[in-house]
Amino acid sequence: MAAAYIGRRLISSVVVLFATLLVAFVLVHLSGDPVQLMLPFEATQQEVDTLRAELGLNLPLPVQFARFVARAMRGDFGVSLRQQQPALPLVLERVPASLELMATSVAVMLLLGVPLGTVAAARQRSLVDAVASSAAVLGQSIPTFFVGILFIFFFAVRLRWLPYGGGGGLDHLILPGVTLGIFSSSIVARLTRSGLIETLATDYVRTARAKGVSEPLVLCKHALKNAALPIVTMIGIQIPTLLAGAIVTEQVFSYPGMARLAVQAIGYRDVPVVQAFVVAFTTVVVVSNLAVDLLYLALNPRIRYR
Amino acid sequence: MRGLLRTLTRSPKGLAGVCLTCLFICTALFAPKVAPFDPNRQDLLSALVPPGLAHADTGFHPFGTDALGRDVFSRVVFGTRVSLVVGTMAVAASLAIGVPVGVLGGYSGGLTDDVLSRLTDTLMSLPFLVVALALMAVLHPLLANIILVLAITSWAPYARLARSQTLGVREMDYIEACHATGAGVTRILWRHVLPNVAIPVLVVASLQVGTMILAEASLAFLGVGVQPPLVSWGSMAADGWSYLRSAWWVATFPGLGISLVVLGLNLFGDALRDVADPVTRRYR
Repeated sequence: MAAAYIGRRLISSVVVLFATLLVAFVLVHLSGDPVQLMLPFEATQQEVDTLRAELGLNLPLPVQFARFVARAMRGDFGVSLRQQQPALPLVLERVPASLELMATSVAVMLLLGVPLGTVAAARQRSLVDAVASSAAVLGQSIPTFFVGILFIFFFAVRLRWLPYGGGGGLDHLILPGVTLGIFSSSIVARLTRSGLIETLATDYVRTARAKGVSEPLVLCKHALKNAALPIVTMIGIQIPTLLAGAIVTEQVFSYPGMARLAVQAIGYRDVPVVQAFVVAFTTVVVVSNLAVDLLYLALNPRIRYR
Repeated sequence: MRGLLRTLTRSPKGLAGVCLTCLFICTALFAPKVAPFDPNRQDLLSALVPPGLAHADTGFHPFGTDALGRDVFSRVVFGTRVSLVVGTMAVAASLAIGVPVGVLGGYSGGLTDDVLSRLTDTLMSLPFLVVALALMAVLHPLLANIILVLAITSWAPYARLARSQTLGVREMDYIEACHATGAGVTRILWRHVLPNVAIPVLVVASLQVGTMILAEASLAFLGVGVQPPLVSWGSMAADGWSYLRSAWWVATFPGLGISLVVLGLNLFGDALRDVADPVTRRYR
């Protein structure tokens, strides 16, 4: 039943978000005494005690957690220690930039990965196949920040084709988007290839060929359509990895997204901003996972009618 | 053991993987002998010397020097230590958490299994690097803390795998026979279940060493890595990133180091998987 499936997925998403809140809550208590961070060094014991009571830090931990969750539900993660502004809006105003980067990288992943995998499957053991599979192995070995550094060096420093980094127009999205997507595109290529090879061996592909359907049409229409399911599943599995790579990518390209804000906040031990970031980022991951699952549901009638 | 090595090195990929891995392990073991300079010795007079040039006073720097005049080659050599130690220890620690959780859940079933499975699933849905980054942001940047944080955030796949393997083994006749002869649960798990779980889990683990090395390097690049005198390739790359316009070598050589060691480990792990599971070879 589709409704039951969606319901189950929604519940597990809520559980994941709850776990994220727990992680965010733990952060404050791992960071030493938050009160010491907020007050000037020469604060008296009385001032410390007053602030502690004000923040509820003298209450039992479960009560503190309940209060934290209640505040988080209202979008209140406290005030940024450095910027003296509410933490969540600071993070949220960076979210659109991060989403643009993520969307660009997913597009790069698909536009590069699917055609490469298709060609590799059609011409097994050819040069394209060899290049695609080596790229897949390399892609899993080179750290994202190094890909970014190499791109900056060649395309921004040497060739001067594209900007070093920062935010702005479309040209600011190209290098970071490709850096982030190229990693995952090799995995998509590998999957497309193995999925297609399996599909090409089926009876209905042989029938299509026997009818005289041209090879490109067999490949793109008959085979690729049926190989799409495992690719979609894999993209779902790849998305969290891809988004995690976004943290490093934003840093390399000084891209004004939420991850860069968080990395700067870490430098200042600005815990409320880090907390808001962890929750906001995980929400993006959870929502995109859910979206992929629903897409899967739409693509695969076997799940829908079970 | 020798037979395994021979099988591994039969394919060119496996051979390359074994060679690269051995090369880096030796470099890490003999780092003080291999490195021509102290990796932390600063010499501001020979800062940002390009690679290959012999500097009049300080000698030959094959990979150049960084902004503080430290020899990049020596730093890359010492960086293998942090990478390999974090990679292997983080995987060992995640195995130590994940395998017991998976075996326990799979074997006992019922409520225990439900709770442990939910926990595993939830952890797998959390973005691993984000959680690791957030935890490192508030913890002291010690080597042990990095290993611990990576282990805590990445044991879930082992638990899932160990659980599914245990479920398969649990129903076997010989486990039944053990029960019949009066063997205790601990003995059954240790002597009969664990060995059957170990091989597939270890194959996955071998592929995870590279992932952990990449994670450590990324954390260090983001500024929450180990502190001097320890050398991390990730923080070297972050240093070099700010000098990219004038000195490409500072970031490039540590980046190449990470890429090669992870490539070696991935090829090694791939070869190991092919040996352990001949079926997958057809699809690759």
